[in-house]
Amino acid sequence: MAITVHLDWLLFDRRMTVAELSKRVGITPANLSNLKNGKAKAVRFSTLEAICRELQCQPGDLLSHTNTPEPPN
Amino acid sequence: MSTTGRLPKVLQRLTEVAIAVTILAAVVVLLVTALADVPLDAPVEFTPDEDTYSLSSDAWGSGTILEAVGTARFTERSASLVALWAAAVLTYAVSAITLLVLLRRILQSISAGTPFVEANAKRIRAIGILIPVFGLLIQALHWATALVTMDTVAAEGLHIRASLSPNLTYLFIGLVIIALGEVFRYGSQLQADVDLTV
Repeated sequence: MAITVHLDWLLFDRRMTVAELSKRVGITPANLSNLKNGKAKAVRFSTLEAICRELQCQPGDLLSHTNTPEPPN
Repeated sequence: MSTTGRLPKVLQRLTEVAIAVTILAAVVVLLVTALADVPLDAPVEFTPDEDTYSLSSDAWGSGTILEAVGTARFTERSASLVALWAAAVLTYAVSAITLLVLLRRILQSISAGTPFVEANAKRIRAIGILIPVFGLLIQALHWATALVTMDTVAAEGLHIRASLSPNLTYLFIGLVIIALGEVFRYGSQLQADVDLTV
Protein backbone atom coordinates (compact mmCIF):
# COMPACT_ATOMS: atom_id res chain seq x y z
CA MET A 1 0.00 0.00 0.00
CA ALA A 2 1.20 3.51 -0.81
CA ILE A 3 0.19 4.72 2.67
CA THR A 4 2.83 4.02 5.32
CA VAL A 5 2.01 4.04 9.04
CA HIS A 6 4.77 5.29 11.33
CA LEU A 7 3.23 4.05 14.57
CA ASP A 8 6.24 1.91 15.52
CA TRP A 9 8.58 4.92 15.21
CA LEU A 10 6.20 7.17 17.19
CA LEU A 11 5.80 4.53 19.92
CA PHE A 12 9.58 4.15 20.15
CA ASP A 13 10.01 7.92 20.31
CA ARG A 14 7.35 8.25 23.08
CA ARG A 15 8.74 5.18 24.95
CA MET A 16 5.27 3.60 24.85
CA THR A 17 4.16 0.03 24.19
CA VAL A 18 1.36 -1.15 21.90
CA ALA A 19 -0.49 -2.51 24.95
CA GLU A 20 -0.31 0.83 26.76
CA LEU A 21 -1.44 2.85 23.73
CA SER A 22 -4.27 0.45 23.00
CA LYS A 23 -5.50 0.85 26.58
CA ARG A 24 -5.33 4.66 26.35
CA VAL A 25 -6.98 4.81 22.92
CA GLY A 26 -9.61 2.20 23.72
CA ILE A 27 -9.01 -0.26 20.87
CA THR A 28 -7.72 -3.82 21.05
CA PRO A 29 -3.95 -4.52 20.84
CA ALA A 30 -4.70 -6.78 17.86
CA ASN A 31 -6.33 -3.91 15.96
CA LEU A 32 -3.47 -1.57 16.88
CA SER A 33 -0.97 -4.18 15.65
CA ASN A 34 -2.91 -4.36 12.37
CA LEU A 35 -2.50 -0.60 12.03
CA LYS A 36 1.19 -0.74 13.00
CA ASN A 37 1.96 -3.54 10.54
CA GLY A 38 0.10 -1.95 7.63
CA LYS A 39 -2.61 -4.64 7.54
CA ALA A 40 -5.49 -2.25 8.34
CA LYS A 41 -7.73 -1.24 5.44
CA ALA A 42 -9.21 1.89 7.05
CA VAL A 43 -8.80 4.14 10.08
CA ARG A 44 -11.74 5.80 11.82
CA PHE A 45 -11.37 9.54 12.50
CA SER A 46 -12.16 8.81 16.16
CA THR A 47 -9.21 6.36 16.34
CA LEU A 48 -6.90 8.78 14.53
CA GLU A 49 -7.93 11.56 16.88
CA ALA A 50 -7.33 9.40 19.97
CA ILE A 51 -3.88 8.23 18.74
CA CYS A 52 -2.83 11.82 17.89
CA ARG A 53 -4.06 12.96 21.33
CA GLU A 54 -2.16 10.26 23.22
CA LEU A 55 1.03 10.49 21.15
CA GLN A 56 0.79 14.30 20.90
CA CYS A 57 1.32 14.32 17.16
CA GLN A 58 -0.41 15.30 13.91
CA PRO A 59 -2.04 12.84 11.48
CA GLY A 60 0.80 13.64 9.07
CA ASP A 61 3.33 12.37 11.64
CA LEU A 62 1.46 9.04 11.75
CA LEU A 63 0.75 8.54 8.04
CA SER A 64 2.71 9.29 4.88
CA HIS A 65 2.14 8.63 1.20
CA THR A 66 4.76 7.21 -1.14
CA ASN A 67 4.40 7.18 -4.91
CA THR A 68 5.02 3.50 -5.48
CA PRO A 69 2.79 1.93 -8.15
CA GLU A 70 0.08 -0.48 -6.91
CA PRO A 71 0.80 -4.12 -7.82
CA PRO A 72 -1.68 -5.43 -10.41
CA ASN A 73 -4.48 -7.59 -8.95
CA MET B 1 -18.83 -12.25 19.41
CA SER B 2 -22.27 -13.83 19.31
CA THR B 3 -25.22 -11.54 18.72
CA THR B 4 -27.53 -14.18 17.24
CA GLY B 5 -30.58 -15.62 18.99
CA ARG B 6 -31.37 -19.22 19.78
CA LEU B 7 -33.00 -19.96 16.42
CA PRO B 8 -29.78 -20.86 14.50
CA LYS B 9 -28.76 -23.28 17.29
CA VAL B 10 -32.23 -24.90 17.30
CA LEU B 11 -32.14 -25.19 13.48
CA GLN B 12 -28.61 -26.63 13.70
CA ARG B 13 -29.83 -29.35 16.08
CA LEU B 14 -32.79 -30.03 13.78
CA THR B 15 -30.48 -30.48 10.76
CA GLU B 16 -28.31 -32.88 12.82
CA VAL B 17 -31.42 -34.91 13.72
CA ALA B 18 -32.53 -34.83 10.06
CA ILE B 19 -29.09 -36.08 8.90
CA ALA B 20 -29.22 -38.97 11.40
CA VAL B 21 -32.82 -39.87 10.46
CA THR B 22 -32.00 -39.75 6.72
CA ILE B 23 -28.97 -42.05 7.13
CA LEU B 24 -30.98 -44.46 9.30
CA ALA B 25 -33.97 -44.46 6.94
CA ALA B 26 -31.76 -45.02 3.86
CA VAL B 27 -29.95 -47.94 5.54
CA VAL B 28 -33.22 -49.53 6.70
CA VAL B 29 -34.90 -49.11 3.28
CA LEU B 30 -31.84 -50.52 1.45
CA LEU B 31 -31.59 -53.49 3.83
CA VAL B 32 -35.31 -54.25 3.61
CA THR B 33 -35.17 -53.96 -0.20
CA ALA B 34 -32.17 -56.27 -0.43
CA LEU B 35 -33.14 -58.86 2.17
CA ALA B 36 -36.94 -58.99 2.23
CA ASP B 37 -39.21 -59.79 -0.68
CA VAL B 38 -41.25 -56.59 -0.31
CA PRO B 39 -43.26 -55.07 -3.19
CA LEU B 40 -41.59 -52.10 -4.90
CA ASP B 41 -43.30 -48.92 -6.05
CA ALA B 42 -42.11 -47.21 -9.23
CA PRO B 43 -43.20 -43.83 -10.58
CA VAL B 44 -44.71 -44.19 -14.08
CA GLU B 45 -46.57 -42.15 -16.65
CA PHE B 46 -49.45 -43.71 -18.53
CA THR B 47 -51.15 -42.88 -21.79
CA PRO B 48 -54.49 -44.71 -21.94
CA ASP B 49 -55.92 -46.00 -25.21
CA GLU B 50 -58.22 -43.44 -26.76
CA ASP B 51 -61.72 -43.55 -25.23
CA THR B 52 -60.60 -46.17 -22.67
CA TYR B 53 -61.17 -43.93 -19.67
CA SER B 54 -63.97 -41.46 -20.02
CA LEU B 55 -64.97 -38.63 -17.77
CA SER B 56 -68.40 -37.17 -17.29
CA SER B 57 -69.59 -34.25 -15.26
CA ASP B 58 -72.96 -32.57 -15.10
CA ALA B 59 -71.27 -29.23 -14.75
CA TRP B 60 -68.40 -29.54 -17.25
CA GLY B 61 -69.49 -32.06 -19.84
CA SER B 62 -67.61 -35.25 -20.77
CA GLY B 63 -64.22 -36.30 -22.15
CA THR B 64 -61.37 -38.82 -21.96
CA ILE B 65 -58.19 -39.12 -19.90
CA LEU B 66 -55.25 -38.41 -22.20
CA GLU B 67 -52.38 -39.09 -19.82
CA ALA B 68 -51.84 -39.92 -16.17
CA VAL B 69 -48.92 -39.88 -13.74
CA GLY B 70 -48.95 -42.46 -11.01
CA THR B 71 -47.27 -45.30 -9.18
CA ALA B 72 -46.95 -48.92 -10.23
CA ARG B 73 -46.56 -51.51 -7.46
CA PHE B 74 -44.48 -54.56 -8.39
CA THR B 75 -45.17 -57.48 -6.10
CA GLU B 76 -42.75 -59.70 -8.06
CA ARG B 77 -39.49 -57.81 -8.46
CA SER B 78 -36.91 -57.99 -11.22
CA ALA B 79 -33.19 -57.45 -10.55
CA SER B 80 -33.11 -54.31 -12.70
CA LEU B 81 -36.03 -52.79 -10.77
CA VAL B 82 -34.33 -53.56 -7.44
CA ALA B 83 -31.13 -51.90 -8.74
CA LEU B 84 -33.06 -48.81 -9.89
CA TRP B 85 -34.91 -48.67 -6.59
CA ALA B 86 -31.62 -48.83 -4.65
CA ALA B 87 -30.13 -46.11 -6.91
CA ALA B 88 -33.19 -43.91 -6.26
CA VAL B 89 -32.94 -44.39 -2.48
CA LEU B 90 -29.19 -43.62 -2.56
CA THR B 91 -29.73 -40.51 -4.72
CA TYR B 92 -32.44 -39.19 -2.39
CA ALA B 93 -30.30 -39.92 0.67
CA VAL B 94 -27.05 -38.46 -0.74
CA SER B 95 -28.91 -35.35 -1.98
CA ALA B 96 -30.61 -34.75 1.35
CA ILE B 97 -27.48 -35.41 3.44
CA THR B 98 -25.24 -33.20 1.26
CA LEU B 99 -27.69 -30.28 1.43
CA LEU B 100 -28.26 -30.77 5.17
CA VAL B 101 -24.50 -30.88 5.91
CA LEU B 102 -23.99 -27.62 3.98
CA LEU B 103 -26.96 -26.04 5.79
CA ARG B 104 -25.62 -27.22 9.16
CA ARG B 105 -22.24 -25.59 8.51
CA ILE B 106 -23.94 -22.30 7.56
CA LEU B 107 -26.05 -22.43 10.73
CA GLN B 108 -22.92 -23.25 12.78
CA SER B 109 -21.19 -20.10 11.53
CA ILE B 110 -24.33 -18.02 12.21
CA SER B 111 -24.40 -19.39 15.78
CA ALA B 112 -20.72 -18.48 16.14
CA GLY B 113 -21.53 -14.91 15.09
CA THR B 114 -19.58 -15.02 11.81
CA PRO B 115 -22.15 -15.52 9.02
CA PHE B 116 -20.51 -13.22 6.45
CA VAL B 117 -17.48 -15.27 5.47
CA GLU B 118 -16.30 -16.44 2.03
CA ALA B 119 -16.89 -20.09 3.03
CA ASN B 120 -20.63 -19.43 3.54
CA ALA B 121 -20.89 -17.72 0.14
CA LYS B 122 -19.34 -20.87 -1.39
CA ARG B 123 -21.69 -23.16 0.59
CA ILE B 124 -24.79 -21.21 -0.49
CA ARG B 125 -23.62 -21.26 -4.12
CA ALA B 126 -23.02 -25.04 -3.83
CA ILE B 127 -26.59 -25.51 -2.51
CA GLY B 128 -27.90 -23.43 -5.42
CA ILE B 129 -26.03 -25.63 -7.93
CA LEU B 130 -26.81 -28.95 -6.22
CA ILE B 131 -30.61 -28.48 -5.95
CA PRO B 132 -31.21 -28.47 -9.76
CA VAL B 133 -28.50 -31.15 -10.26
CA PHE B 134 -30.08 -33.50 -7.70
CA GLY B 135 -33.55 -32.66 -9.06
CA LEU B 136 -32.39 -33.64 -12.55
CA LEU B 137 -30.75 -36.85 -11.24
CA ILE B 138 -33.96 -37.92 -9.50
CA GLN B 139 -35.96 -37.18 -12.65
CA ALA B 140 -33.44 -39.17 -14.70
CA LEU B 141 -34.00 -42.13 -12.37
CA HIS B 142 -37.79 -41.83 -12.80
CA TRP B 143 -37.19 -41.79 -16.55
CA ALA B 144 -34.92 -44.85 -16.36
CA THR B 145 -37.55 -46.68 -14.28
CA ALA B 146 -40.23 -45.87 -16.85
CA LEU B 147 -37.87 -47.00 -19.66
CA VAL B 148 -37.26 -50.35 -17.94
CA THR B 149 -40.94 -50.91 -17.18
CA MET B 150 -42.14 -49.70 -20.60
CA ASP B 151 -40.71 -52.73 -22.41
CA THR B 152 -41.74 -55.32 -19.87
CA VAL B 153 -45.07 -54.25 -18.41
CA ALA B 154 -48.33 -55.14 -20.04
CA ALA B 155 -51.33 -53.22 -18.78
CA GLU B 156 -54.65 -53.50 -20.48
CA GLY B 157 -55.65 -50.29 -22.22
CA LEU B 158 -52.59 -48.39 -20.94
CA HIS B 159 -49.27 -47.44 -22.52
CA ILE B 160 -46.44 -46.71 -20.10
CA ARG B 161 -44.49 -43.72 -21.27
CA ALA B 162 -40.94 -42.61 -20.47
CA SER B 163 -40.57 -38.86 -20.53
CA LEU B 164 -37.78 -36.65 -19.28
CA SER B 165 -39.26 -33.22 -18.87
CA PRO B 166 -36.90 -30.99 -16.90
CA ASN B 167 -38.49 -29.50 -13.80
CA LEU B 168 -37.90 -25.76 -14.06
CA THR B 169 -38.91 -25.22 -10.42
CA TYR B 170 -35.62 -26.75 -9.21
CA LEU B 171 -33.70 -24.56 -11.65
CA PHE B 172 -35.53 -21.42 -10.50
CA ILE B 173 -34.95 -22.24 -6.80
CA GLY B 174 -31.28 -22.91 -7.60
CA LEU B 175 -30.88 -19.56 -9.36
CA VAL B 176 -32.47 -17.68 -6.43
CA ILE B 177 -30.09 -19.43 -3.99
CA ILE B 178 -27.05 -18.71 -6.22
CA ALA B 179 -28.08 -15.02 -6.23
CA LEU B 180 -28.30 -15.16 -2.43
CA GLY B 181 -24.78 -16.65 -2.42
CA GLU B 182 -23.52 -13.62 -4.36
CA VAL B 183 -25.15 -11.35 -1.74
CA PHE B 184 -23.25 -13.31 0.93
CA ARG B 185 -20.01 -12.96 -1.08
CA TYR B 186 -20.47 -9.17 -1.12
CA GLY B 187 -21.38 -9.28 2.58
CA SER B 188 -18.19 -11.21 3.36
CA GLN B 189 -16.12 -8.54 1.53
CA LEU B 190 -17.84 -5.80 3.58
CA GLN B 191 -17.24 -7.83 6.76
CA ALA B 192 -13.52 -8.17 5.90
CA ASP B 193 -13.34 -4.37 5.41
CA VAL B 194 -15.05 -3.75 8.75
CA ASP B 195 -12.79 -6.29 10.49
CA LEU B 196 -9.69 -4.45 9.21
CA THR B 197 -10.96 -0.99 10.13
CA VAL B 198 -9.34 0.30 13.33
